[in-house]
Amino acid sequence: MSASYAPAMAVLWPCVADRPPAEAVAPASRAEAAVEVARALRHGLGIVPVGAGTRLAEANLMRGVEWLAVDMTRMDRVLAYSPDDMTVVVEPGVTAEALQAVLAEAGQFAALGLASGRGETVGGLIAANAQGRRQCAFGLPRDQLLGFRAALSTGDEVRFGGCTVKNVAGYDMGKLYCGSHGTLGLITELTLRVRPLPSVRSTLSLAGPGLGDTLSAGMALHLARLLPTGLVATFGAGCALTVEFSGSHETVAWQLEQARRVSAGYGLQTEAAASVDPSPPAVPDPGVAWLRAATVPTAIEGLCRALEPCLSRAVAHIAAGLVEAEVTLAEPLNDLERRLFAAGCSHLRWTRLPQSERATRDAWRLPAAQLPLMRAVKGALDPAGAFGPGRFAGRI
Amino acid sequence: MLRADQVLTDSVEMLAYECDAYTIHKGRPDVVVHPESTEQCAAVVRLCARMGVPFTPRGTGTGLSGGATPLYGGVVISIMRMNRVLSISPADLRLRAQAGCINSTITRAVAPYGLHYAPDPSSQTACTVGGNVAENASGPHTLKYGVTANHVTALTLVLPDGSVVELGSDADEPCGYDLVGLLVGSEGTLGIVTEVTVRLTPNPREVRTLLAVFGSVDDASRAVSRIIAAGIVPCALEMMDSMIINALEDAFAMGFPRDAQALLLVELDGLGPGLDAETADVSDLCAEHNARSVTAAASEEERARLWFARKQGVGVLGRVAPNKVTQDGVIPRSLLPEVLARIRGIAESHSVRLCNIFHAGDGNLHPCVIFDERDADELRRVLVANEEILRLCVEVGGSITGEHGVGVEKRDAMPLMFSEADLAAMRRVKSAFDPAGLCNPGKIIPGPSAEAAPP
Ligand SMILES: Cc1cc2nc3c(=O)[nH]c(=O)nc-3n(C[C@H](O)[C@H](O)[C@H](O)COP(=O)(O)OP(=O)(O)OC[C@H]3O[C@@H](n4cnc5c(N)ncnc54)[C@H](O)[C@@H]3O)c2cc1C
Repeated sequence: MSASYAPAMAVLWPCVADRPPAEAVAPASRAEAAVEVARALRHGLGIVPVGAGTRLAEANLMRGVEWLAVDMTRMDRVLAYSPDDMTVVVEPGVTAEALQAVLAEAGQFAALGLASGRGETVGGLIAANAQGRRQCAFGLPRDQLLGFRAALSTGDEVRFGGCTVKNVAGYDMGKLYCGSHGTLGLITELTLRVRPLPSVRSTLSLAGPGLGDTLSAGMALHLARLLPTGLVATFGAGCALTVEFSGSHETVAWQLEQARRVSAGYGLQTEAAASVDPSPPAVPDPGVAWLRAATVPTAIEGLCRALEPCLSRAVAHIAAGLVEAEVTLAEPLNDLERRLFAAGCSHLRWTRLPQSERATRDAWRLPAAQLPLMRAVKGALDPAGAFGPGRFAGRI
Repeated sequence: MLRADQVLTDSVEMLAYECDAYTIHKGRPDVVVHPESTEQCAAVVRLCARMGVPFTPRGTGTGLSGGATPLYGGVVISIMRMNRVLSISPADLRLRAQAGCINSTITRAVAPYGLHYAPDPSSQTACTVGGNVAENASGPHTLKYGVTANHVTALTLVLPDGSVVELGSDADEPCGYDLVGLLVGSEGTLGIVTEVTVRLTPNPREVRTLLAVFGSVDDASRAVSRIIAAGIVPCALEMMDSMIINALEDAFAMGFPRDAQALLLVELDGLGPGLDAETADVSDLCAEHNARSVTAAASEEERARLWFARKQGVGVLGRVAPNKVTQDGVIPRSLLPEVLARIRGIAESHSVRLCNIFHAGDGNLHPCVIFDERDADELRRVLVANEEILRLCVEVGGSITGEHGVGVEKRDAMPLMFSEADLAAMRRVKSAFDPAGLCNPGKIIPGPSAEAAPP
């Protein structure tokens, strides 16, 4: 029998559903996880996997469903690590920090965001497909996942992908589970690729005179054909441009010099204290919303301008074409959406919404024509519709 | 719907469409069509759907697992004529092309901007980007730059009912379920891709290319393992064995030592600073593993010559024997020395002629068996040896295919890697896109769905 969850999690339930879970369990193994899934299916309960809970509020609110919360944090082991193959197999509840510590001993790391100090689990990062500023260099979690196991609502445990860096046997199901927010099954094991730790990581932070100059300098750096492992502009209390380089001493030193030279032309000479990418709180604050708008580098400035009237803070990942922003509710969110799409936004997600908006607004804004296929995929992988019903895009 | 010159029905003209570059399985198409637009392609698919006729998407037929082979006849839909580059945005590192655009055409189109398209299969001057998407193709430079799946952000897809849907966007980040990610590598079984948006990669400022000559395959494979374990990420790390070396010598007089047992082609790239030190490290590691010589390409011409040899290495075997099967197993790279030795043992025990030319850096083996298909006994031994090699790859924790796809060739080997529950889930995904089972039937997934395919 699985142990029960930490009571502290109770504050998270309003992020998930319109009611607390009928029950919450914390399995310690794949076998226990399978038992819990089977039990939930028998009792007709919805199932919501929970890691550290930092991104539960990103998906839609589940309404009218009795549900089981499955706390994965006890499944926190590193199961197999082969530094020479540069692959690692983990349980999904291991925290990113704990995993990185193990990998660092062998001089390696997994490209799964920056240390956040919030105990984010690897399973949660994969399920949210969440990456930080290093996306421009290493891609998304989808690009790190080699294989996985999941318990499905058919009662089966499936395993897809493999443990080698190249593998095209069968459909690449891992891509679907990355970013699925727990709606296609309970991930019970993950195999990831890892990379050699660079000998040096160095960050240049520059205070910008204003949004325009900061972004122009950022764009110039993007076009300078350097190899930054992070290139972000942050706005809020002032503007800052942060660029990170990693690698050997020689290449990092050379790039820092180039970056200083390129940015000098934009009035950003002052070296500022390292900026921290703002990240939304686990439990949404009332009175604000957070969004994540995806686009291409050349449209970043337009998006930031479109946000300006209601911007409280933002981070623009210039090379990755992504803006993450906290906005005030000074104007209807529909108006803001319209402005963003007019400025070249490809799609956006409302990653935190005030409770008043959650019932009515889909957290995903994507072309409606894709929804029937997504619904069909959901039906194929979660035929019983047990995993977070209504939580996904289009309330799938 | 189509002009007469877009339709082939003559059985002689259609011979070329009976298989791809994997020639052991064949299927006779009833008709071959060459649509020139998404609309034409969709119209053909709608007609097939209405009439219940199976159809098979096809690029240029360079596939190595029988993916484009029309197993159940029907219509072969060739995308070859849809070969235009549609738009380029250098600052955003994006290019949109029709799916029939040849891989190397993309790189040529963006060369003036100092950019290239990173996935570089050896067949890149012949294969289509749509075929690359279908197979999740890769190449030597995948080791550092990733496979097709890491370089595609959007697709136009003709669904098996003939409707058209746009998936993904120009942005890096997928939105909703990552359907583009699912489509890449789906081998033409979920629909026909007619347009593709790819990510472009800036050309490296500096490149160093090394050729290391070894007296034993074992030494060469140990050197590979050591280079990877040392945390060096070359942009390519390729191995060729003595049969390939000699075939290349016969064909092109490259100047490789004929008595060498293995060549390693190692390429490093970067911004410049620190690159020479890294190159020296690789050179030292090769020397430590008894390399007879390690030489750096002194000019761009020399480098191009080495890559020419690597990319011709498989094709040139055509001079040695009339038929060949190139396998595509992947293994954890630390096991390279052990697995290569065991593969040699398998070849010897079945008296088959086997050589190796492969992506050593990521453990993607291409044991290549040459034979004469008119010799029934040799063909039988080849198939047995093939199967044993696949089993070996899976047994050591690897995969039956790293880049060529399952197709029909390895369909029945899928249960080596996947349980019935895994395969059933794949079948459900297939049905979600193609409930009637008309789109490239008989591929990838063995069992019920393959058997239930149309007669
Ligand atoms: C000499 C040689 C060297 C090779 N080297 C490599 C290599 O280094 N790396 C590598 O990965 N591969 C390699 N290949 C294999 C092959 O070139 C690739 O798999 C390539 O991606 C196939 O492209 P194609 O256009 O020829 O596709 P085809 O062979 O025509 O089709 C391949 C599959 O894709 C499907 N398909 C094709 N077009 C579409 C479309 N528009 N929409 C949906 N489905 C479609 C087909 O149904 C089929 O299943 C090599 C092949 C040869 C002959």
